[in-house]
Amino acid sequence: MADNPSNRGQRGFHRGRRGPDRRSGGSRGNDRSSERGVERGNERGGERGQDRSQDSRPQAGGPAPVRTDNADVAQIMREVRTRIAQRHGITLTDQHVEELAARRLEAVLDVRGLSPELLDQLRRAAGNRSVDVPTGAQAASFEFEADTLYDTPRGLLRAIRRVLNPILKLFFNPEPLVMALNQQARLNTAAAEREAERVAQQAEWNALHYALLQRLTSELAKLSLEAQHLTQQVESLSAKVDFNDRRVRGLEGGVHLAEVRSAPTQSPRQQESGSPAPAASEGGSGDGARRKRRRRRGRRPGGPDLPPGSGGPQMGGGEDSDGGEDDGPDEGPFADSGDESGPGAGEGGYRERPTPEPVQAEPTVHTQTGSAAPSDPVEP
Amino acid sequence: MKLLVVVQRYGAAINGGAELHARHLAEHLARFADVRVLTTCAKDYITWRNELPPGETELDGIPVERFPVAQEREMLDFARRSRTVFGAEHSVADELAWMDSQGPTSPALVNRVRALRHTCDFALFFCARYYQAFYGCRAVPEKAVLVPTAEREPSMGLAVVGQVFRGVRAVMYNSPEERAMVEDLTGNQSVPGTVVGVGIDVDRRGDPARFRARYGVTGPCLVYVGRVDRNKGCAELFEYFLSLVRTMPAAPTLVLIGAAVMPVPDHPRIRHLGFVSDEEKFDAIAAATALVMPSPFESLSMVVLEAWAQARPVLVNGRCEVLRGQCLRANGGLFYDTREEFAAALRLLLEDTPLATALGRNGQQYCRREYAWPVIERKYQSMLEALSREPAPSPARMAPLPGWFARRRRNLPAAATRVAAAATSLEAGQERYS
Repeated sequence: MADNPSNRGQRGFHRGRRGPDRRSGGSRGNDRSSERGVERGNERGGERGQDRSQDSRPQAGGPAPVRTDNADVAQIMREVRTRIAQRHGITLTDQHVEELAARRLEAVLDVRGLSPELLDQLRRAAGNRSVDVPTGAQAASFEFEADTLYDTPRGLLRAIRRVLNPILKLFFNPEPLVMALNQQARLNTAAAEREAERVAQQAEWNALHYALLQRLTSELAKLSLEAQHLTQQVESLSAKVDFNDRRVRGLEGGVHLAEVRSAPTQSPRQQESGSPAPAASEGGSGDGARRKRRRRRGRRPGGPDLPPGSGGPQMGGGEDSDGGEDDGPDEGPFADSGDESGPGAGEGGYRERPTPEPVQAEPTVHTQTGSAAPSDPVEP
Repeated sequence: MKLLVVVQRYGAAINGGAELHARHLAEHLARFADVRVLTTCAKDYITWRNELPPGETELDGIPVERFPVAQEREMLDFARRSRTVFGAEHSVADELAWMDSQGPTSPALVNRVRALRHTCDFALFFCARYYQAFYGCRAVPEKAVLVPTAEREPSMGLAVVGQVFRGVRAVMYNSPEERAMVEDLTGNQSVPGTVVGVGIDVDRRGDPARFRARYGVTGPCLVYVGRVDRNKGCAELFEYFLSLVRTMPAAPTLVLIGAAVMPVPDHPRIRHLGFVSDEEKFDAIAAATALVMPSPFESLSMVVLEAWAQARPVLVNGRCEVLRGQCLRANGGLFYDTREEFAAALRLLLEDTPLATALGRNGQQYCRREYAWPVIERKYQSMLEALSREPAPSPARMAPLPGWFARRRRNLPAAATRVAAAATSLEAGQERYS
C-alpha cells in the first residue's frame, strides 16, 4: 500500500493542503465560506452523506459542531452570525459602525474648520426639536388703543387726564399718533410670529441635516469597510490563483520528471534485450549528455545517495524533502509535487509572487529528447 | 387545602395563553386541593362584553363562579390613557384610571374574593396587569399568590403594579427572564418566588400523515400556531419568509394555524388553515420540520413546549428574551434577530436533518424535565406548603394607595421608559436564575 503511487499521491496532496488552500477550506476566516456561507457547508454535507453525520471532527465550511447529539445552540448561533458577518464583510456591530461614523463625522467637521459650538448646536437641535423661540405675543406684549396714552393704574390721575383731555386736544391732534403706534404694535406682532416660525423651521432643518449627515457617514463607514473587505478578498483570491498556478506547474513538472526517471531504468533492460534506447536512437550525443548529467548530479551534495524516487534538489522543494517524517518513505513524483505545494510553497503563495521554480521541470523534458542540452537547467 | 383561581376569562372555548394556563393548572391542582375558579362573564378580551351568564357553573368537575363586567372597554379612552401613563409623566390617579379603563372592571368579582378570604388558604391571581388581579391582590394580600404572566410591555413599569408585586405572598414565574425583569422593575426580591411555568402533556403525539393527507401539504413545512397578528411578529415573519422563498427554490411551506387579524400574503407557499382542533394542531406540529414563533413578547410559549414534546425543533424570535432563553436552556431550537439569521437558521434546520433531530430531542428532554405536569404540580405543592408553614404576614405589607392629593401629583415617569431602562440588566438576570 505504501508503495502504491496513487496512495503516495494522496498523502502528498494532503500535505500540500497545509498551505493556504487548506486554510481556505476552514470554517473561519475563509473565502469560500464568505462567498457561500452556510449553504456550502450543507451542500458538502449532502455530498458526503452519512459519513458526515458520523464524523465528529469540525467540517470545513459547514456547521460542523452541530453534528453531535448534544447540539449547542449558543455555539450554532455564534457560527451562524459569524458566517453572516463574513459574508457581509463587516464583523462590526451596528453600534461599532455608528461610533466609527461619529468619529469620521467629527474628523470631517474638523477638517472644514467648523466651530465646536455649531456642532454642539446641531447635535442639540437633532436631539431636541422643541426650541425656545420668542413668540409674537411675548415680543409685542402691548396693544396700543386710543386711550392707551392716557391710561394709568391710578384712578384719580386717570380722572384728571380725562378732564384735561379736551384741553390737550386744543394743542394738537393725538389720533394719528395713536393710529401709528397701533399699526406698529400689529407689525411687531406679525414680525415676531414670522421670526418664531422661521427659527422653528430652521431648528427642524438643522435636525434633519444633522440626521442626514449622520446617516451618510454611517453608510460611508459601512461601505468603506465593505470595500476594505472586498479588497482583501480579491487579494486572497489572486493569491490563491497564483498558488494553484504554481501547484499545477509543479504537478506537471513531477509527471514529466517521472517520465524522465523511467527512461534510464528501462534502458539497461532494453540494452540487454538488444534494442537500442530511444534517446540513443534519436541522436549520438544522447548518451554523452546523460553521462554528463549524471556526473554533475554526483557532484551535488546528496545527489547520488538519494533514494531513486526522491527527485533531489531539482524539484525546488529541497528544504521540504529534507526534513520531517512525512517526507521519508513516501517521496516520489507525486510526493514531490505535493511538497511543491507544501508549507513553504503554500504559505509563500499567499505572501509573495510565485517563484519560477517549477519551470525547472520543463527543460528536463528537453533533455530527454536531447534537443535542449545547451539549456540544461542543472548546469551549476 | 382550599384554593381560589382568579382569572379574567375561563372556559373550554377560551384559548388565550394565560387563560389556558389557568384552566390547565386548576384542573391539575384539583387533584390535591379544593379548587374554585372566580372569573368574569366576558369571552372577548378586547371589549370584555358580558357574554356568559353570571353565577356558578361547573367545568370539568371544578366549580366556576362568573361575575359581570361593570363596564366594557372603551377603546379610545383606553388608548388615550395608555398614551398618558406609558409615554408621559403622570400620577397614581392616572394609573388607576388606566387600570379601570383596561378592565375587566368587575367590582363584584373583587368583593367575592374579599368575602372568601377566610374560607380559602390561597388565591392564585393570573395576569398582574388586569383589573381582577390588581384589585384582588390588594383585597387579600396575605393569601395572594400571583401568576403574573408578565411580558416586556409598558404596563410592567406602572408604579401601582409594582406595589402589587411587592405586597403578595408569593409569585409564580413562567421563566427566569420574566423573574429577572419583574425583580428589576419592581424590586420584589424579598417576596418568595419560583420559576414554574405551565405543564404540558408530554406524551401526546400527532399524526403527520393525517395532517398532510387532510390539507394536502407536501414537502417540508414550517408551522406557526397562534393569532396571526402584527403584534405577534407575523408581519416580520411574512417578510422574512417571502424573501427567503425568492432565493430558495426548495423553501418549505409556511402553515399558519389560528385566527388572522391581519392580511395573510397570497402566496402558494403560505397556507392559512384558520382555527383548527387540538388534534389537528398536534398533527400539524408533528408534520412540521420546525415550529416558528415570531412573537417578540412572550412570557411562556406553550406552543413551543408542545412542539418540543413531540421532538420538533423550533425557530423563535431572538428579540424575545424568554423564547431565546428557553432555546438556550433546552438546546432545542434556533433563534433569529435579522432576516439573514432567519434564513440561515431555517436553512440549517431544513438541510441538516441530524441537527434538527438533535435539537428536537433536546427540547423533548427539556420538556420532560421541566414541564411535565407532575413536575409543575410538585413545584406548586411545595410552594403552597412552604407558605402554609410560614406565619401569615400582615395585610399592611401591601402598600396602601396614596391619599387624594398625593394620588394626583404628577411625579411618576413614563412607564415605557422604565421598562426600556430595565432591559440592560436582563442578561444578569438570566444568569441569576437560569
